[in-house]
Amino acid sequence: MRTVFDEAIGAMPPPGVDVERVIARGRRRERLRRWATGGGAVAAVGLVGATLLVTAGGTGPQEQYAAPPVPSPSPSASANPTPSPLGKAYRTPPAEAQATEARLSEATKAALTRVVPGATTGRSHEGKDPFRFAYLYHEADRSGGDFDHYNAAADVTGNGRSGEVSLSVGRRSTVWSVPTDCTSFPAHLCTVSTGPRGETVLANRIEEGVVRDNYVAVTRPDGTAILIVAANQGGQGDTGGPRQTEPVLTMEQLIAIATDPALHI
Amino acid sequence: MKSADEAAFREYVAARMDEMRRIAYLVCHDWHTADDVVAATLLKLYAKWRQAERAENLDGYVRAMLLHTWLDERKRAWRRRESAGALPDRQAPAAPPGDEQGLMALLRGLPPRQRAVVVLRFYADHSIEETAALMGTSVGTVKSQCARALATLRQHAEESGVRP
Repeated sequence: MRTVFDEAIGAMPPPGVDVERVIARGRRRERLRRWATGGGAVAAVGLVGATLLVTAGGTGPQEQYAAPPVPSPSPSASANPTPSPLGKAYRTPPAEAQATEARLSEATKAALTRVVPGATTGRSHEGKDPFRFAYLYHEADRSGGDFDHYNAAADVTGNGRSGEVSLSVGRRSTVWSVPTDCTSFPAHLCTVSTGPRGETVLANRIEEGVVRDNYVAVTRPDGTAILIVAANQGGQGDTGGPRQTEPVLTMEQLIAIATDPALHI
Repeated sequence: MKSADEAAFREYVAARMDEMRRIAYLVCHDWHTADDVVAATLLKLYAKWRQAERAENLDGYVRAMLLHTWLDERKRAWRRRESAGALPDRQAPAAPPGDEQGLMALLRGLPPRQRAVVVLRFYADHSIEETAALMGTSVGTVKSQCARALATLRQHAEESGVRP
C-alpha cells in the first residue's frame, strides 16, 4: 500500500525546510519561555500573604505607582528593587478579565501610535487579531504557585520595518516572575535602568543567527510586570525569514510603550 | 537543549525528513504547505524533544504531531477566513500532473480527520489501536473512519475507473 502512495506522490522537490533555522528558533523560544517564567521564585516566596497593592480591573491609568523604587545601579544577582507583593496569583473573574483585556488592547494600540506615529498592525503569527489580549490563568503546579497574566501580539509595520511585537502584562508571582537583573543574559547585550516612575527596566538583545529580538521587561513598584518583545520577522512560529536586520521597534520605543501608565491591570 | 540532545534531534530529522514531507504532502496536496507544516512540526518537536525521545514509538509520536499540526493549521486558516469574510488566502492546490483522477484526488475528497487516519493506517502502517492512540481517539472511531474512508475511496475509484 505504501508503494502505491509513494507512486501517487511522485518525485519530491528539494526540501523547503531549513533545519538550522528551526533549531535557531527553537533555542530562542526556549530562552524566552525560561526568562518569562523563571528566575524570580526565590524573591517572591517569602512574600506570600503580603499586602495586595494591585487591584484588577482598575478604572483608569495610574499616573503614579505605589511605592518609590530603590534605584538599580548595576546588573547584579541581588539587585531586585521591586519584589512582587504577591506570592500567589488569583483567578480574575471572567467579566473583569474581559474588561481588562479590552482596556489593554486599546491602551497598547494607543501607546504604539503615540510612540510610532503611522504604525499599522496586522494579525499575529497565530492568526489572532492585532493586540487582542487573552487572559491566562494557570493552576498551581509542582513548581508551587499559580500565575495569571494577559497576552497579546501583532504584526507591526512602522519605522520602515515590520515584525511581530508580543506583550504580556501580569502580576509577578512565584511562577510568573519576569527578570529584573541581567544574571541570565549575556552581559554585553543586557542593561538595567530605572524608569520614569520608578520601574525596573531590563533591556536585552537576543541574537540567534539572523533572527533578532529586542526584549524589554518592566517591573513596577506595585508588582505589575510587562514583557514586550519586538522581532525582525513574523514571530516565533513564522517559517519565513527575517524581514530586515533590526527588530521592528527599537529598545527605546519598547520602553516607552511598556512604561505607559495606561497599561495596567 | 543540550548539545548532545541537539545532535540527536538533527540526526533524527535528517533521517526522517523525506517521510515527514511525504506524509504532509499526502494530506496537504501541495509541497509549499507541506513544508510549512513540517517546519512548524519540527519547531514543536524541538521544544518537546526530551519528552519525545522517551516515547515508546518516536516515529508514531512525530507523525501524530505532524498531523495534529496540519489539522490545527486548517482550523486556524478557516477561522481567519471566517472572521475576515475574505477569500481563501491561498488557491486550492491543483492535483499533481497525471494524478487528476488518481489516489491523491481520492484522498483530497476525504474529510481532514479521515485523511489523517488513512495516512497513519495505510501509509505509515500503524495498527488500528496505534492509530487511535496517536490521533487521541477511540478504536471504534478509527474503525468507522477507516471504513467510511475506504468506502468513499472505492466509490470514487469506481466512478472514475481508477484503482485506489
